[in-house]
Amino acid sequence: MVWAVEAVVIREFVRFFRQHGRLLSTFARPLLWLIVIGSGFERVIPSEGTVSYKQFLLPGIYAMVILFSTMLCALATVSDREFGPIRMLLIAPLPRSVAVIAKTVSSTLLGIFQAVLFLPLIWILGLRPSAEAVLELLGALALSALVLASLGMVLASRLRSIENFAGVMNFLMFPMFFLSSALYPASTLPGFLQPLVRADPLTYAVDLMRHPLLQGLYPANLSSSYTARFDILVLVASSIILTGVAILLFGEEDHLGRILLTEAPRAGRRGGPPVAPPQPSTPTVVGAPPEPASAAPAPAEPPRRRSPVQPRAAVAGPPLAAPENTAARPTDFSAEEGGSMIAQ
Amino acid sequence: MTRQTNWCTGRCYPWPDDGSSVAAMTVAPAIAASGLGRDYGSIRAVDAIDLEVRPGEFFGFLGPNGAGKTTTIRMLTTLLRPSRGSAQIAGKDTLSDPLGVRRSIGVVFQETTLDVDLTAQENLRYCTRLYGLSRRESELRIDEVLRLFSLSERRNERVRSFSGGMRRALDLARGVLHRPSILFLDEPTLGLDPTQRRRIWGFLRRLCSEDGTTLFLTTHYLEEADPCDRVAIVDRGRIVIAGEPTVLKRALGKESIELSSEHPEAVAEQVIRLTGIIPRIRDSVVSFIVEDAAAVMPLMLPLTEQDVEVRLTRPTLEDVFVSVTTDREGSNGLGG
Repeated sequence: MVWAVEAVVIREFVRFFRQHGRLLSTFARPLLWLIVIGSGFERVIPSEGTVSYKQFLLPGIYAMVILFSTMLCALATVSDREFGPIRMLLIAPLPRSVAVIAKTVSSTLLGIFQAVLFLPLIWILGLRPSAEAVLELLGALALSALVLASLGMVLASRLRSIENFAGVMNFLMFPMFFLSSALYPASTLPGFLQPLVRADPLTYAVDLMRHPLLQGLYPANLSSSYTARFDILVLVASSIILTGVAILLFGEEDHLGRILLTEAPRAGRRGGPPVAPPQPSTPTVVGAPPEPASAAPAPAEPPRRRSPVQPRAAVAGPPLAAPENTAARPTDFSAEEGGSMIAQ
Repeated sequence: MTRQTNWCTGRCYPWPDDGSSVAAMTVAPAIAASGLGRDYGSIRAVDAIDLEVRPGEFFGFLGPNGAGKTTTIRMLTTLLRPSRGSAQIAGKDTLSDPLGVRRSIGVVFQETTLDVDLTAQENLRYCTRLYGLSRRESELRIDEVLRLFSLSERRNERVRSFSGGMRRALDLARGVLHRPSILFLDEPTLGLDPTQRRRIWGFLRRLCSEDGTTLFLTTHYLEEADPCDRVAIVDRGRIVIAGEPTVLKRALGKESIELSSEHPEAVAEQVIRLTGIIPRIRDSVVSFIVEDAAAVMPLMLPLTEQDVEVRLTRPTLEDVFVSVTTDREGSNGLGG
């Protein structure tokens, strides 16, 4: 099984280095945000204590690098399915869970790798963390990449085509980024957004990264809102739950078959004259009861509405609600997704 | 609902018995399916497929588009859960032991599976690693299949730069890389030129006869299904006829009369008027099958005076195919 994971990881890395546009945007996007948004906000938000706004923003930039990297990996999985290569994985003698884990691991490693490329920014921006703090940051990067990679796999299992990615971008990635404390302390957001802030895994990722980087440099209430221990707990729990959900969704053979079948009509059109769709010879009298109509992807799990988010102090409540909400969100909008979203 | 009526002659023919059921008793079948079916919502893609393929057999699975061939292959290769029935591949059940099944099979899909951003060699290496072959073993086999398909020189080029034929060859190389005992091929020669098709068929025949690999393939190039040991013709999710190609052809009728003309429709009308048989038109050729050509040929005499070329041939698998599959486009079966 290890060799299979290794094979998938190697393939993802080779692809990453061959897609020059992706490489370029990997470098350009975070720097653009850091320089343009960073400089702009610096004028509006006065520096607190000894920390400049750009230093405050840095963990947010790492979160952004990882967010885009993992979501692009999820997108690559969708395009793998659309253009065929995923079949090499599906037809190999591997359990579906190993296939999902291999994809998650490669997405995680790619996310860590890209974030590590930006580590020099710490010193360029004038922060001087201890070696220990850098190691802690690396751990935080790894955990953040893991949780976002598994979220990406849940998305990938339900997205039908890469066009839907526009929806993911508008309705998931940007809200996640803006709701986390990446750009400003989320505590400044209005109360009705706070449940979303707490449901956003990126909140805990950014929070955890701020601990080693800004410890003691910044007013405590503005840098980190939670204890590192709590952040780690949330991130680990979310990763496990999300990976489990992804395995369930990918392992569901029926669902896979249906997705694979989406190209059957296309193949039919290619060769020969058009044929009428096969009709049951007799109006289904015999045979299994008809399956529920399956055109629209039903939500994987009905989003169990947990009644009002419990106070932050409760350990298991809010974090566990988070992955469910985020997992359900994409399917919610994919049903009502219209051309308008893509047209933008 | 049986569809054994011969639409050309309106005559029924017996289901050919080639004795395969007897032979299958002695050896465990490579592929066995009973009552295998699959619905998509209210659409019945595959009704109920019963089949048995012996180890080392070259088995052709034919049928018009939308007949359920691809769905059947997906169920047999564990990619799709059947709605009813069961299937055993190499003695392993597709539902209870999908890994065991996937270990014994190779699959060449209708669409490509290659990653165009990787080189030929990288694609193959990815596969050998997924199958857990050691590095040394994997390099040996990659060299071997690349040589076999004359792709050695381009092994380090990205698949993006490959032509359709080269991609197909590479896909096939990928399918046999781990030396499966059973190879499934869904339209393996789709979109290839005749030379490439011949080469791939040559390779498949050798694979079957020399290595004893069981081949299960779908195709709609019917003339290519001739070398199959046995074929099954599927229509509307059911096997309508199965047997050796020669037996099927014999069952259909003895002789086929072909009339070539620049006005096939007009010729067809005359054939109907002269003989009462509804012929089939394909391109500029009008053809129909008769029991005794000597009795019918004299009736064709008026046609020869109109620059119509008359030929007498043996029925082809295509004739069998057209006669048993549901005619969806009117009486002349503009198939193919």
